[in-house]
Amino acid sequence: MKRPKIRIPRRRALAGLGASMGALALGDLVLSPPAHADDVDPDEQPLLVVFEFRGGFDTLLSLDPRDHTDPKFDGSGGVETGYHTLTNAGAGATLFQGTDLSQGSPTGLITPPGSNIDFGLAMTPIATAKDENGKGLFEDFCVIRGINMATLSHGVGSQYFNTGKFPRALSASGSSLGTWWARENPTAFKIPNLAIATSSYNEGLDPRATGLYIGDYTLLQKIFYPIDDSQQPHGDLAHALTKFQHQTHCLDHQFDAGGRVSLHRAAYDSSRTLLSPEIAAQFDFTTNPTVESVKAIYDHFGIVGAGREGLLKGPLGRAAIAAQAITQSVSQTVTVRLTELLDTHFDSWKDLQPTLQASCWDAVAKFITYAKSQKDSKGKSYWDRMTVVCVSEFSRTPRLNTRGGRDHWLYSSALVAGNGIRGNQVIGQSSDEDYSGLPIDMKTGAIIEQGPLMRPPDVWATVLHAAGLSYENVSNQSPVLIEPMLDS
Amino acid sequence: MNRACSRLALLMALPLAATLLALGCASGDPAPGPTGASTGAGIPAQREAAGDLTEIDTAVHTATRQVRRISLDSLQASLGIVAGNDIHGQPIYWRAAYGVNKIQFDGLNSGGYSKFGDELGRPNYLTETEESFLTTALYMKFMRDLATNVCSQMVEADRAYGPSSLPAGDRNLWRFAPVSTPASEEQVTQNLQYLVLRFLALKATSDAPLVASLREVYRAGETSTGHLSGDEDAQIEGWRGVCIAMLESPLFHLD
Repeated sequence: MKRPKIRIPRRRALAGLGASMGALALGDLVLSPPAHADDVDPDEQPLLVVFEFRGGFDTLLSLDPRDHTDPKFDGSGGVETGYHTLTNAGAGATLFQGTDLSQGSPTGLITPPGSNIDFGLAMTPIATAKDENGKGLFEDFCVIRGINMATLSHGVGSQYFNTGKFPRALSASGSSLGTWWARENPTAFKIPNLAIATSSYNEGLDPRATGLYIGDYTLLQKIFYPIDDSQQPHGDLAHALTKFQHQTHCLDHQFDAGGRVSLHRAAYDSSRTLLSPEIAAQFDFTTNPTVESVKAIYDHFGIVGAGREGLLKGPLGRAAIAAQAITQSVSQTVTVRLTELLDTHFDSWKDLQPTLQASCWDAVAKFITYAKSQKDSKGKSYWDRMTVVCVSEFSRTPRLNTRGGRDHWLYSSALVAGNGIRGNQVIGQSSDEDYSGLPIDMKTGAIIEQGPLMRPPDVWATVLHAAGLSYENVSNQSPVLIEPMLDS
Repeated sequence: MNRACSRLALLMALPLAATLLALGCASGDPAPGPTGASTGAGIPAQREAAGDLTEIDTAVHTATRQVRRISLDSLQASLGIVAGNDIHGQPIYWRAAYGVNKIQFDGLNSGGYSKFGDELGRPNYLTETEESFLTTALYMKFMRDLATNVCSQMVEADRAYGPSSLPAGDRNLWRFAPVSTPASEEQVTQNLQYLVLRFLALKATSDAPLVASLREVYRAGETSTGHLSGDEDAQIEGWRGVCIAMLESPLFHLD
């Protein structure tokens, strides 16, 4: 019996279109010839490093502090600095590398000479840091306050700042900023996009720009070397395996409707690149490195002595890996989760929050000073074309809770510095009454009665624009450029 | 606008192109038989006579989700079935050694040391709640480690049975081809077809391009040992190479 001709049901047609859209989304890869690595000079590309403070950092101790001697902030109102809790906690609560952070200023605000920014005591290491020319790092900093995170969920807030797009329920929407940044010339760098202990997303962009995940330094040896060299295929077999991967068979076409086979092959090729003795040597992050560039990094970051292994696992070690990736021109973008432990709901707040944040800010300071001191192949500092962004998924409540800690807070702050960013300034503000974000005029930065609150897509759009890059990735979030951030 | 129109035209053309390609595969590789196996979006399980583009067998066609990479849990569960038992009679898994004492862990588990589940994207439901089904460079790097280790274990298990001690049916890697004596072309082909069925769940004909490609891998494995073709070690390395090729293949990792 002759089967009837079929009219494709609407749902199947849409499913087919969906598969085709997937291919179109990868159209730049599938249909266009890849950019040739030799055509692009990595030392002319803008660099990006994002430092994530996971858990929700307490901005009263860092980016958006208050004068603890002002009775307005003693807890009788909506904001409580809680300094009495810190200073009465006994030895260690605010002790960082032998210095009692709470003694740095009578008000708890750290304002270096010439700074237009008040920093909280946890930022003492970075607020007071200077580069090799004696210039305060704060001169490059733009602190943004009163960002509306629109969520109190760790995962949602983290993904929101990761991609610049509000997530779809618990699923990230869009690609990570690092992936977007690296997508234009992924072959110019050996590992164009590095994700250290954090998530990286790629939604429809060149698969070669997908973030390479590194949990911590112990994984480096596993990534750049075969786990068991004695089992590796050699010679003719190794070549034949690569050739086989690229041979297209019947089912490959069928499976590639969504671009997945192409992505698989691109990932295979990239994985072969990882097994490069040159890269492996540059990431010889062991407790006793032999490579000179790694030793120099260890010296700069203070990863020395008997506690070296612990330091490597923490913020300093993670920032050091980022520094090596950038200054050896291995990566164009690095996203680093410095810590996961800032979620201090309980009285661990007083013992953990100030010193752990200080460790993280110290790591950022050391990263920036290292980047400023290193020269690329053109004799210019890596800092000249670098953007650094420090974020957290939200901040913490302005009042201590009944357990002596702080809970999640909708508004947050961020620090942005570098390429195209005007430094030594604060944009935005939170209320002294209840620490909520205040609306600002995005063109002038003035606080206004009614108007928009700054959001992560606005920050990302401005950062991308400042670096001369498109911010089309967040266009469906209706971003508004925060013009006072721009150094033009 | 012009770019949008050309993209729209391409959008319309791609499903048709995929159908054409599917039917163009009529010779050589047979499509998966009517066993109920999912064949991906829009791909018919049975075909009408070649050239008839409009009639699709609705009786077996089912709507399927988009092709994606296999989950880590599925991969982990598959290995013991695909690779069979090791020399000790236990299901083969990816043995990743850790530390000076070379303690072995299942490399697809999560939790640090030589367990790479976290790095491969398995959610821990603390900081990560969803698995990414993207094939990344790191994933493929570890798949090489996995493939070489698993295939080496298959070699070890098949060797243990000896050249003539147990029935060929107890061997999982070179079931239809001897290694202690030179295998004929027919035996090599038959074993390649068997391995394609075992690893990829595909019934390939003897003249299928996939079989021909794998035969190249087999021969390269032989020559990589420096031994003569037909030598026992050479043939074993050839089969190990074929095993690695299939465990790295997109056809293994995509479903």
